[in-house]
Parts: sequence; C-alpha cells; structure tokens
Amino acid sequence: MRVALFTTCLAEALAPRALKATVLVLEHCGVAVEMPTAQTCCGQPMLSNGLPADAARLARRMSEIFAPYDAVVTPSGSCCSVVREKYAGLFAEGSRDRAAVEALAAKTFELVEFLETKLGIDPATLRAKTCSRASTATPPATTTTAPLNCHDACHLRGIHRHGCTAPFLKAAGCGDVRDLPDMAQCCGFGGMFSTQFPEVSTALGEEKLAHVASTGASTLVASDTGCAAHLAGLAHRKNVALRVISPAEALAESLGLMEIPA
Amino acid sequence: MNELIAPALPFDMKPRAREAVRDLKLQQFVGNATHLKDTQRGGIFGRDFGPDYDDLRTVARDTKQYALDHLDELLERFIANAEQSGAKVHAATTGREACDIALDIARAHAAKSCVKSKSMVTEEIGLLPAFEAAGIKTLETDLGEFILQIDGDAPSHIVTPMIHKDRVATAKSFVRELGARYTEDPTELTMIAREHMRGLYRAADIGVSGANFLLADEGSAVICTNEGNFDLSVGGPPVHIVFVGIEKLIRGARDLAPFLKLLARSGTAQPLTVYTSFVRGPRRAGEHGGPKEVHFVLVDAGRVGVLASEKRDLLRCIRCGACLNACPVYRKVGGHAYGSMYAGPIGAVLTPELERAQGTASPGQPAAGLTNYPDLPRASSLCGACYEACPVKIDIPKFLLHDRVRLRAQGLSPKSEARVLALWRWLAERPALFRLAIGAVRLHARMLGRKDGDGERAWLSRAPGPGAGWTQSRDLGIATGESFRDWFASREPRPKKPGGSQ
Amino acid sequence: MTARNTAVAALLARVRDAVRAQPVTVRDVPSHAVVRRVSRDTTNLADLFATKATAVGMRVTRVDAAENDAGVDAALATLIAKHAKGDAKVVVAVRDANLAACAATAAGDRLAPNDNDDLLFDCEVGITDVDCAIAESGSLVISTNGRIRNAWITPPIHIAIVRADQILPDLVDLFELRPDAIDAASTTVITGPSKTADIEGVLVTGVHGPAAVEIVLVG
Repeated sequence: MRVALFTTCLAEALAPRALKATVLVLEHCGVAVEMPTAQTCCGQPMLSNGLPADAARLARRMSEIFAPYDAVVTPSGSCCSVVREKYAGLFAEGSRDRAAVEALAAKTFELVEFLETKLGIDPATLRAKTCSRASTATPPATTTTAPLNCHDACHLRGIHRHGCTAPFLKAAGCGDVRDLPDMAQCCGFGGMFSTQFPEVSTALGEEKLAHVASTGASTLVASDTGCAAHLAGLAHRKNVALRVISPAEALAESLGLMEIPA
Repeated sequence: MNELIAPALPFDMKPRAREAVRDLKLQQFVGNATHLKDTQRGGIFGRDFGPDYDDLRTVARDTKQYALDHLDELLERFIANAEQSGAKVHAATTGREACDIALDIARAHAAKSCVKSKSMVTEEIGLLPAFEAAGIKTLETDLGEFILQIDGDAPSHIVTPMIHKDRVATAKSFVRELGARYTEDPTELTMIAREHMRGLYRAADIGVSGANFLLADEGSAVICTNEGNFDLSVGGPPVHIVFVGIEKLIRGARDLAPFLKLLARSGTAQPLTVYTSFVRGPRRAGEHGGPKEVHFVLVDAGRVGVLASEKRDLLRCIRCGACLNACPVYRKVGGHAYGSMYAGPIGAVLTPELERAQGTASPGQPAAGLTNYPDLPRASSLCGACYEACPVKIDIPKFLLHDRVRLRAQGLSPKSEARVLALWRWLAERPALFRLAIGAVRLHARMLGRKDGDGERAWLSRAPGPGAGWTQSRDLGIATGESFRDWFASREPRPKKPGGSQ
Repeated sequence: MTARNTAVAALLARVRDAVRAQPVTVRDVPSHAVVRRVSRDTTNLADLFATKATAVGMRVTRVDAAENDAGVDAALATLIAKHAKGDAKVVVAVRDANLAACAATAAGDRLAPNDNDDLLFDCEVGITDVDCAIAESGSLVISTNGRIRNAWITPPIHIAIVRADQILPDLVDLFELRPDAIDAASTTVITGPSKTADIEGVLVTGVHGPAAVEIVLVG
C-alpha cells in the first residue's frame, strides 16, 4: 500500500510539528509515508467562500497529484472532509473529473480514522507496536502527559468521526484524557467566518477555552489546524497558558516518538 | 411590523451580532436555554429511538419531500376535502393578500376582537398590524407571544419566542400594561396572564391560528401547542381562520405519525406536544361549541418560488427550532440578529429565499433576497450542527454555500476577499511560488513575532493584509523552526520501494 | 367563479408549474415501520399507558374492571371531592351513556347543564370519556363527536375516563385503526396538563388548559 501524506497548506505554515508527528506515528504502525511535493492547497477557502470554479481547479490538481497512491492521510480533519464530502459536487455527474475526485475521496482519511478504520488498529495495542523504521525511541513505561482535552473539528461530523478522537487517545494511553464539556459546540473558527464575524468567533472560542479551563487540562488536542490556530491564538492573546496540539502529536509524544517540549 | 423582525432593507446583521455578544443577559438566557434543549433532544431520541433515530429522520425527510414533489395533487385533494367538511379555502399570493382576505372575513362578521394562537406565518405576513390598523383588537394567546406583544418586543426563536427575555422584564410589563402587582415568580406571572386572557377568549369575535400540518386526505389542519391556547382560540369565537403556508401539506393522517414524533422531541424534548389538535371544518349539527365558520388561507408569499427552485428542500422544514438550539452562532447572537421571524440556520437560508421568490426588489435592482440579506449566508461557521439536528435532514450548510456563490456572483461579498482568494488559488497552482509564499509568512513571523510560550512559534499581534482581521482578537502563532519539508527531506532515506516517488 | 375560487385555481396552477420545475426525487412514501420503535413492548397496554401518562404529568387512578360502574362512581366522587371546592360546578361531556350516568351521579349537585358551552368558563372540573388512548405516549384522544367542545380544555381540572380496551399501542395505530377518531369537527390528542416554560424556561402548568389531568383507568 502506497500511502501519501496530505500536508495541507495551513499545517505547513502553522503546524509543521503535527505533520512530523503524523509521519512518525504512521511509521510506528508500519506504514511508510510518501510526500508528493507538488501539493499545495485543497481549495477549501475558495469552496467555502463562493468561488467553486477556483476550488474545482485545485480539486482537480489534488486528484492528479494523489492519483498514484492507495491512501491519502492528513492530520487536518477539515481539509479531509472537504475532499471526502465536497469535491464531488464541484463537477458534473459522469464527468472524468468527477470520477477522479470521487476516487480521491474514497481513499482520503484523517489520521486517527486511518489508524482505526483502515488499518484496524486497536489503540490499546499501539504502544506494543514496533517501528518499521529504525527508531531508538521506546514508549515510556509510565506516561507523564499533562491532563488534556480533545476538541474535534466540526467537519468530522460529515465523515462520522466527530467525537472519535478522545476515545482513541484514551484507549491509546495518551495520559490523562479528560472529557471536554460541550465538545460538540463549534470553537468559532469557521475559516473566514473568524474574520467576517470576529466578535462571534471570539466569543465561541472563549467559551471553548473556559470549558477547557473547567477540566483543569493544560493541553488541548484539536483535530484541525484551523481550530488549533484559533484557540491557541486566543489563549495567547489572553495570556492563558494552554498548549494546543494535534492528535498526531499527542500520540507521538505518548509513544515516545517525540519529545514533549519543556 | 416590528423593526426587530422586519428591519429596513438591506439588512446589516453585524451591528446586531456585535451588540448581542456584549449583552450578558442575552448570552446567559439564550446560551443556557439552547444548550439545555439541545442536550435534552439528544437524550430523548437516544432513549426512545436509539440507533433507529437516523432511519426515522430519513423516513420523515422522504415523506415530506414526496409531499413537495406532489404538492399540486395534494393541494387539490386538500381543497376538495376541506370544502367537503364545510370549510372555506382561500389562496393568497402575497402576505398583503392574505391579510386582506382575513380583513374581508372580519368585516363580514363586524368583528372587533380577535384571539390569536401562535403562528409563524402570521408574523411573516404582518397580520397583527393589519388587524390593529382595521380596529380589530388582537390578543396573542401564547404566553411568550403575549408578553412580547404587550412589551412591543418581537419573537426571537421559532418555538420559544421570548428566549431572550427574562422574568424581570415580564414583571415590569405586567405592572405597566395590565396593572398587575409586581411579582417575578413565573407561576404567578403565568396565572396573571391566564386570568387576563380568559375573559378575552369568551368575548372574541374571531379566532386566528397557523397550522403545523395540513392533511390532504382528510382536509384537516393539525395544530400543536403545549398551552392549550389554540383550542381555546378556536373553541369560543364564531369564526376561525387558519393561515397556513402551502408547504405544510402532507398526504394525510397516514403520514402524520413520524412528524408528530419528531416535532416535539426535536423542539422541546417531549414525546408529543401536550395538545395535538385536529380541525376538520366548522361545528356540525347538534354539536356544542366550536366555530360556525372555518376558513383556510393558503399562503404562498414566496413558497411557490422556493418550490420551483433548487432550494425546494427548505420547504421540508417543520419549524421545530432544533437547528437554532444546536447552532453555535444562534446561541451567541440570538434571534433578532437575523432580522427576520425565521432566525438561526434555517432562517439564514429561508429568509433570503422567500424574499427572492417574492421578487420584492425595486425595479432595476438585481433580484432581492441576498441583496437585502447579504450577511446571512456568511453568518455561519459551517459546523454542520444544524444538519445533524434537523429531523427532516435539510442540508443547511450546503444551501449556505450555495448562497455564498450567489453573493459572489451578485457582487455582494467584499472584493478584497475575492482578490486574496484568487491570488491564493493562483499561487496554489504554482507549487514553487506557493512554498515561497509560505516561507515568506514564516520569515515575517520570525523577524517580527514574539517568541514565547513553548518556543515553537513566533506570535504576531498585528498581522498585515488579510491577517489583520484575525489579529483583531487573537494572536497568530506561526511555527518558525525547521519546515516540515526540510525535515522530511533531511531524514535518512527509507528502504526503497519499487516505483516510490521522492 | 367567485374571486375566491379564481385565486385558489390560480394558486393550483402556479404550484403545478413549480412542481414540474424540479425533478421529482421521491416517488413513493417510504415505509413507516421504524416509527413504531417506542412501543415495541406492548405486552400490557394498560400498564404502559399508565406509566407514560404519569411520566408526562397526568395522574392515574386504576379501577378494577370487576368493580364496574360502582368503581367508576367512587373514583369520580373522590376526584371531584378533591378538586371541586365551594360551589364549583362540574361539566360532564361523556359520550358513553353508561359512563355519562356515572359521571352525572358523581357530580351530583355540582352538575352544570350540558347544553351551553358558555358555562365552561364557570366550571371547575370537566369530565370526559375518550375516543381512544395511546400507550406509548400516554395520550388521550378526545373528539367533539358527542361531547361539548373544550370541556377537556377550559375548566382548570380535567377528569378523563379511559377503558383499558380503548388503549392503542402507538400513535401510528390511531391513524391506521381509528380514522373515525379524527373525523369530527375537532379532535385533540392530549399528552399532559397544559404547560408553558416561556418565562426563563421555568415549567408552569395550567397556563390556558387544565393544570391537572386525572385519568380514571378502568380495567
């Protein structure tokens, strides 16, 4: 199986560590990852903002770039859902482009989803896995991970993965995973919504941060780069000490594949 | 009509949204009530339908869609059967026509007073101001609507109209308008309203209501309430007028059960509303009580246009309010921010569509609708909670996206935004340049950002260009260390696979 | 043609065009089997009905079928004594002649004349029987067929007499098995006492309709 990493432009700019973690976790599970260098942006910003023709051009690119692979994995829940749910609607039924993006949709996965449903990995056995690639890291015997919450990207609803991250991380032994009250409510990011209705977006983000604070968690795992940037940016502006990471980083750290920064 | 739900057009949502977010009481009331109802909705469906809930929604979706796809047949059957039962059926193309029909009926009976049961369509057509202008004193009998009426306020939620209002405001308006003694106790306030209204029920010349469903096979209307105000409104006066949008039709009682089971659970987490009332024509020979005349006013007011459009699905809406309760934006801005009696996600798509279909634009203007409500399609984070909550599976996010395309096409979204997105797309088709651009962003952050926190990122508090909106209320953290691509390329080559790229 | 008929015909014509403007996506109404989910366990309908009716805030007095009219008389008399104070009047809107006689006996001097619906506002208690009842939701189905309209809405207390053999398992059954129940000028399916939560979400009963619904369940 040839597996490609769908990096997403936002993660390349804002969260390269999430991408590194994705590679390390996949390799830990015996999956060698390739990274097509021509990939750029999936077109979500255009698609969500009334420019479907522009989005279609990028969708077509994506389907060509990832054509040689059997699976496409990304740490970004929202970008994943765009490929899965929205691409087909950009092209006429029966067209070649439509078939191409449908084929892409059928093999594109969010990381945790890929591990759980495509590889069929029982999270409880993750720590016992041996890395296919030379790695000196051994999973720490006892976890020292700080208390954490999971906030799933709303777009995971569309691919029926909303609320699946926390149970997976819990079962994988990612330390003290605490239930986030009202996890189902959007964090207020919403792409350009965050600048079109900044007060509403901020108010929702602050509510999310308050929920996190109520659990005593010092780390928030957000399954989308945009949500993570929004919440981390809010916390930073308000001098709230909160580490915002991706599920890939939470897994990589708990498996000893990555150092937890001091 | 009340400016809160019938504002000057084009409507600017943003100031109202800003104001709402700062209104701590509104945040508390609307936030608490919507969260509670949303949680209870999940609970009752889980308890009563478990994994079958989704199938139930599918059944309801298809049953209602069938009705819309065959609305002409159903309408014909309804009219024949209703007339057979002795009701009179009227048709109104516009809200004004609907009001005029009612005024004619009222005039024929020299009506001076009216008791009215809660109805969205009568809000939509402006019946109350029309009646008041004609000297017909009209009483809103739903408790919430009554309190809003005497306080000059307007409903802000489809099901719980005074969700934004508290007991203190209620107490004050009861003292001022009803001469009641001051009390903040909800039970006492309710009883004051009850006593005030009972005499008015007895004396009313005319009763008015909406309807939740029309049954084609039976020629009946179905009205759901919890208070019993509909039954009192229809039971006393000699004339009753039911105003109803044509999209309320279903085949008949044989198709009603899924909707009744979904409606109350979705709206208020009850198995059924307390009263589900069937009206099948005027009182019959030998019966005691009930109207001697029943009129159905079938209202178009844009619905026929929506039926003909690619947004036909919107007419499936059964006005349960679940999408409002589930919507993060509604929870923060409340109903009045939407500038329509239809607030929240469904309102954001339905309001412009009804407006467009009625073609109320001035001559020479582009089609109304989005022109008058340019903010509504954008007032959503596209989180999908509304679609998930909808008992008839209306894909609201899909229609919001559809409207965002129209906004662009009509030149109603900011040009600067379009320019940035076009540049972004242009770069994205040129990978080398795209990487340079990402590199430039990272360089900018490295040079000007503050390095603190975990040391991984540099933080910008004032980003240039398109990032400026972002940093109004949040910092922008950009990773400045080794890029992912450099890291990936620098790793020891893994065992070669046949045909592997890189 | 009257103006009214012309307008109705015009609406029909426009709807016909509008329907044709989009493809038909649903050609047949799907099976409603899943709708029954709630009432899958229907081994004892009277018990299920009593449980559900209580859950929605109605009170249930069980009368053994063997006690016959005497049992109903006694139950009604107790409930009337509980709710009707002073010179409070009781209106009887019972279609079943036998039960009507029981109700009239139990009401005694309090019985209001049953031919004048204006009196409803002056009555404290309304006694009705039902067309049928629904177990899964604990609902009463009452039509105007043979009953003073709103005798079950206007007085502050509603007493409903339900025979166990009138209980249907599910709401679906009302429409499938008892179409006559909704073939009256008006029929109301009642699921609890009148309630509102309009003021700050605080639940208050008896806002317009009865604050208490007492069910005498026979059998």
